Amino acid sequence: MANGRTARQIKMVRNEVLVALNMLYPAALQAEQLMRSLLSVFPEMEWDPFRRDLAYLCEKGYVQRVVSDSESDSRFTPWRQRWFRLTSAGMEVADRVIGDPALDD
Amino acid sequence: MGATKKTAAKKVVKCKKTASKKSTTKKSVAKEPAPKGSQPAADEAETPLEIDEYRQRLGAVGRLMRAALADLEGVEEVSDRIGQGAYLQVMGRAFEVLDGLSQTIEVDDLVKISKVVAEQRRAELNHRKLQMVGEAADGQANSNGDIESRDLELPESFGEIVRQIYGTTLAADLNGGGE
Repeated sequence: MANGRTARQIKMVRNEVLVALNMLYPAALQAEQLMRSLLSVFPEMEWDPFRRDLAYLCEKGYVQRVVSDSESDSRFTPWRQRWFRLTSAGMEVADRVIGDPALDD
Repeated sequence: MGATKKTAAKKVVKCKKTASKKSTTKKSVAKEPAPKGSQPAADEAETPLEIDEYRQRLGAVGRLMRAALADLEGVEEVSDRIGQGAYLQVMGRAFEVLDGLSQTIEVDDLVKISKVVAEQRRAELNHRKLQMVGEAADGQANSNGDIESRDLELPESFGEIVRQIYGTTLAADLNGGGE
C-alpha cells in the first residue's frame, strides 16, 4: 500500500501512462491532459498520486519532460502544464520488448 | 460383415463429431482470453474491456495526429526550436478534441497559438539581427561602416503573416469587430 493504493493499482496506472504516451508517440502531452484522459479508465485517480507516478517514470527514464520554448522559466511551470513524452526506453517497456519487475504484474 | 461395417462407420462418424466439438470448444476457449493476453500488465480481471477500448481509442487518436500533424514536429536542436511551443499547443488541443476531452477549439486557443508563433518569430528575427550586427562589427565587412541592411530587414511576406495572425478575422471574432 502506498498512499491508499495497492501495488497492483499503482502498476496499472503507471503502465497505462506508458501505453497512452506510446499510442501518441512521438507527440508530447500535458500532464493535465494525460490525467483527464486516464480518468476515463481510472475514475478514482487523483492528481497527487498521478504526479508522483509521473515523477517516478521520469526518474526511471521512461518518460521525459519536454520544455517548450514558450516557457519563460521551466522550473516554475506548474506540473499540470508541463509536457511529457515517452523515451525510447519507455517505448520498449510499453511495447513489452523489455520487462520491468516494478511495472509487471 | 455388413453390420460390422455399419457399426464401424458409425463409430468413425461419432469420433469425427467429438473431434469437431472438441476443436470448436478449444477455439472458443482460445479466443476468449486473447484480448486479455495482449494487454500489458493492465487490470485484466476488473476492467479489461474498458482499458482495451481506451487503448483502441488512443491508438486511433495517435494515428490521426501523426497523419495530420507529424510535419509540424519541432526540431530538437536548441538553436532551432522556434515554433515548438506552438507545435505543442496544436498537438495538445488536437488531442483534447480527438479524445473527447473538449468538443470544440475556441477562438481564444487559436489566438494563443498565433501569438506564440508570432512572438517566437519575432524573437528569432531579433536574435538573428543581433547576431548579424555582431558579426558585422567583428568582421571586415564593417571596415567601411557599410552593414548590409538588406539582410536585416524582415521578409516581405512577414507583414502579411502578422496581418493574418492578428488581423481582422480573429480580432473581429474576439472583440466584435473592434481593433
